[in-house]
Amino acid sequence: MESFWKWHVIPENLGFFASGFRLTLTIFVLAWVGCWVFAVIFGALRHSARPWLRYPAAAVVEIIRGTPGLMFIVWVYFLSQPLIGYALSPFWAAVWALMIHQGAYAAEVVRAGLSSVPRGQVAAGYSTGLGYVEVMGFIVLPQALRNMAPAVVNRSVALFKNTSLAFVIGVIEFFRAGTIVNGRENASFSVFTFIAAVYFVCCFSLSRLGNRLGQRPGVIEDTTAV
Amino acid sequence: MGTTLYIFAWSLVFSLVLGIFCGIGRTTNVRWVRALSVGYVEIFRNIPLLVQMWWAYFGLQQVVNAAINDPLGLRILIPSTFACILALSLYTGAYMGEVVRSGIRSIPRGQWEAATSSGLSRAQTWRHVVLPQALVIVIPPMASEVLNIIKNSAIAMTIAITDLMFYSQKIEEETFAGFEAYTAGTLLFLLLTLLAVGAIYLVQWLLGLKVRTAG
Repeated sequence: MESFWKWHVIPENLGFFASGFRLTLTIFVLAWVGCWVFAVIFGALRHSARPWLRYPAAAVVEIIRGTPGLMFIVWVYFLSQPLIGYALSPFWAAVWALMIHQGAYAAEVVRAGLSSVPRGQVAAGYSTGLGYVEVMGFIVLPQALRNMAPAVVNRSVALFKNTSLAFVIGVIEFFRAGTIVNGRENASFSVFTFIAAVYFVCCFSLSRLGNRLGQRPGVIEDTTAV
Repeated sequence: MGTTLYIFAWSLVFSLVLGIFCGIGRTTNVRWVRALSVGYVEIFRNIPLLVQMWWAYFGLQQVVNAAINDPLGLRILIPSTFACILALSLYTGAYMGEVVRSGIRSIPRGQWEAATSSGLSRAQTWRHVVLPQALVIVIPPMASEVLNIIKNSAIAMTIAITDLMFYSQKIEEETFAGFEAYTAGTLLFLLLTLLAVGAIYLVQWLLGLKVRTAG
């Protein structure tokens, strides 16, 4: 009889798990930065009063949001060669895919944040002689960011969870490291429980941070299960 | 297509039930019910669905082997669709719980007090005053969670892929055309997912219209 209680495989493979976790963190940080750059650009475009800026941006965001993250990663990886003529490595394909996919969700957060600032304030800013950059920088963004903060944290948690999808194109990040250890040791119960626990600790502490920032009126809620 | 719809339908039913109970549980005054709901939501929202699904498929199988199969000499295998539905329902249920909770929270306190003072019991207040209003309020965010079930069901591919890989390896050994078979399967799945996403968008749009005309 084979036991499913094989916790000894965790310390035995700790170095391998740690290298996987480092890669997960690297993907997370790179994709996080890119994701908010994407989000600010597309969120601002969607919030723009000019229809020729607003509608194309809306189309891009909605199409990306309608695609499962897993599919998106596979597409970016396999279509990079025919589309841009350069085959991305699995690592960079994962970073770009996660960045664009989560960026589309994050763009909605940015847009909601920008629209949470009353239009009258923008008009007042312009009428006192401020330019676009000044109105955005001194009036809209400080207020929008405060309303957005919890949603930003929620998006970051989602991004962290989605880094596990990179496993599908062969990036040896934390989850794939787990599947490899499991393949060698046949200890799926212990290995996957351990992985789940680590992801839980990371995401839970992040979302606690979000809860501390939130819980007041006017804050944007973003509880999308992606 | 059949499998996808099957998974979608059952996950939808289970996650709705879980979500509504959990949403109610998070707003009651009974402490242990609230603690249970909060624990459930936090655990299942903070673990990637991928990990949950693999846990439900591979991890659970080992437990079943050790607890039932080996002592009794049986060979019970967890079907991948079951693992899929289990993980998807638990994951989406946690998110739906949050949606339902915010729906219930949006009912003003005065309505509770009015219901109590007009002689309704707690259960009657829930059934006739709070839930009918709260469940209508949450329809639009719920619709987007439903859409997420379809999108997230793509992850089911990863636990079915071991089968697919297994078979394409077999085919390759026999015909040396495994790659073609594998690609065809993937493309088919991709097409179906996109179709389903389109259909859900349509449903969501129709629902949105309905809600607006009713309000």
